[in-house]
Amino acid sequence: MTPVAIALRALLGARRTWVLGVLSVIAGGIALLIRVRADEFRWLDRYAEVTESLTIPTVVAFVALVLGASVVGDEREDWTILYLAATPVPRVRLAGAWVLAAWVMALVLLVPATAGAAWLGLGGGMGARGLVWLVAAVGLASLAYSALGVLLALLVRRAIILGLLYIVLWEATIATFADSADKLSLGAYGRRLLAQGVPGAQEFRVPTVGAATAVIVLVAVGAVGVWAGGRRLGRMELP
Amino acid sequence: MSATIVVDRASKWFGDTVAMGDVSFEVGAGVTGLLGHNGAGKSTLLKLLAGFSRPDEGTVRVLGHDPGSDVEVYRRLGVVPDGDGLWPHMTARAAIAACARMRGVPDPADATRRVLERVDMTGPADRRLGGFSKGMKQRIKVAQALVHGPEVLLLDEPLNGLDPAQRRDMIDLVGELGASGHTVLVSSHQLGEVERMAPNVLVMVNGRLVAEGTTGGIRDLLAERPRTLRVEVDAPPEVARALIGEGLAQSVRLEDGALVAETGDLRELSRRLPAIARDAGTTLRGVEPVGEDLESVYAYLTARARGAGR
Repeated sequence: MTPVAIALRALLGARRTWVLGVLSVIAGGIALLIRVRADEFRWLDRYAEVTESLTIPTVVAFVALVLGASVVGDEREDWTILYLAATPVPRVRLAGAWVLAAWVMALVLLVPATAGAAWLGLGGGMGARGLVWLVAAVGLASLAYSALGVLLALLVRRAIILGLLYIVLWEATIATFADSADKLSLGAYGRRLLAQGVPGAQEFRVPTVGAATAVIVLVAVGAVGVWAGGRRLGRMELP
Repeated sequence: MSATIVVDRASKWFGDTVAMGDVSFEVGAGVTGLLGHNGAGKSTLLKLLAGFSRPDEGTVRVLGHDPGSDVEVYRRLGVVPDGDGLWPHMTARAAIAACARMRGVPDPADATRRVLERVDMTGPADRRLGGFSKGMKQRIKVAQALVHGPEVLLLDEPLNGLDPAQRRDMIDLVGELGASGHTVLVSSHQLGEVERMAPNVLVMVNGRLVAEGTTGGIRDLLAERPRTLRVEVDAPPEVARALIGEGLAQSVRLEDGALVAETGDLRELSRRLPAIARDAGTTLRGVEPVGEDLESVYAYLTARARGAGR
């Protein structure tokens, strides 16, 4: 548990985490704006559009990926990674601890914000089923993006910039709006879970797979990220 | 001596740069100094031994383990890295206890208390590391390396940032560790520092091991090397003739109005010089050594290693 606790404390103490928290609630603000401003017959469509194009592929992706990249990047930057490396803790467990810490922090920031946004955007019309699928979508997409962030930070120095490019150029644009690209997008599998129960989400562009497959894909990406991160950590040059 | 650290023909490159080339040595219990100027390859060698990096050629073994691939070695190995980094949001006690837990210490709290006493950091132990001075961080780095009672310790410039009293305490601590049967490899770029900590020394220059032996032996080797003196007198030719005539200098040249003399017996030349100047009817205005910096010392050892082998 110790490496997770160290990583969580580092994330809690970082200003960047709180900036990401503010970003998370922006989605709620936009949902509220839609509720207030949109035509009364179209607010459900508008909310669905925002969720499809902004919540999962941009806000969730950005927050979780940056948290994953930060938790490793900061340890590399200030050399504290050496004190973790100088322990008999298996490298896969260290990578797993970073992913877990980033994921927990992402859930803390994103679940209340996105659930609140849904409540505001749908005027309380989401129901328990919708809430469960929303949490599943945000939670599992966060897991995959956190693992990707950790892996990126172990592979390259400027992981956050690379991660941002990935989100902007792929997840939030091509993979969101091109039908043919949705099977290669983590966000698309997250939207697939939203489509399972969140009102208005049935019209999303999602991969033609079942919800169970979407769950498996997102969990598998998280697991592969941990495994590959552990292998990379065991072979990389430390500062 | 049973070797706890064995390095066999290890080399490390960074692109086209040879950070360490064909280094071999064995080290057993006790303190061994690793001496070299900045960029000599000391930190590269310590990183290889700590498992933070891997040799491109050759092998590195600590207690029989390959530290680059066998993490179990960290139960018996303690490392003090060069950088200042410590988790700034944690207290010293929490950080050391976390290291103890991760290295499988049965009672981390008690081990932490004992090691904090050992490095004299009990007072500020419950303060956050972010507010610590460099010297305080240095002692916490040593404490975390000791907390699990390792048999082998790698200390990269442990005296950096310490004030004179703290240096003395750290030197005593390193000496105690060596005397109690630990293998301690401690790096420094100052011979005087290494001499106070370590009876044995490895000297690195430009990524190569150029000398190894007792600290006294290295000191003697350095004392034997030809030395150069710049002598300022009013009548350089007369003094030059006397120095050569009496066999006190191997060569003498005139440089900017001063004599530059190379000698194999600095003590005797220094003793006789005032009398020679007086006999030549001139005034001795100044004497200063040339090339006494560490670079020159290392350059001499390098040339000697190339010429005659170690």
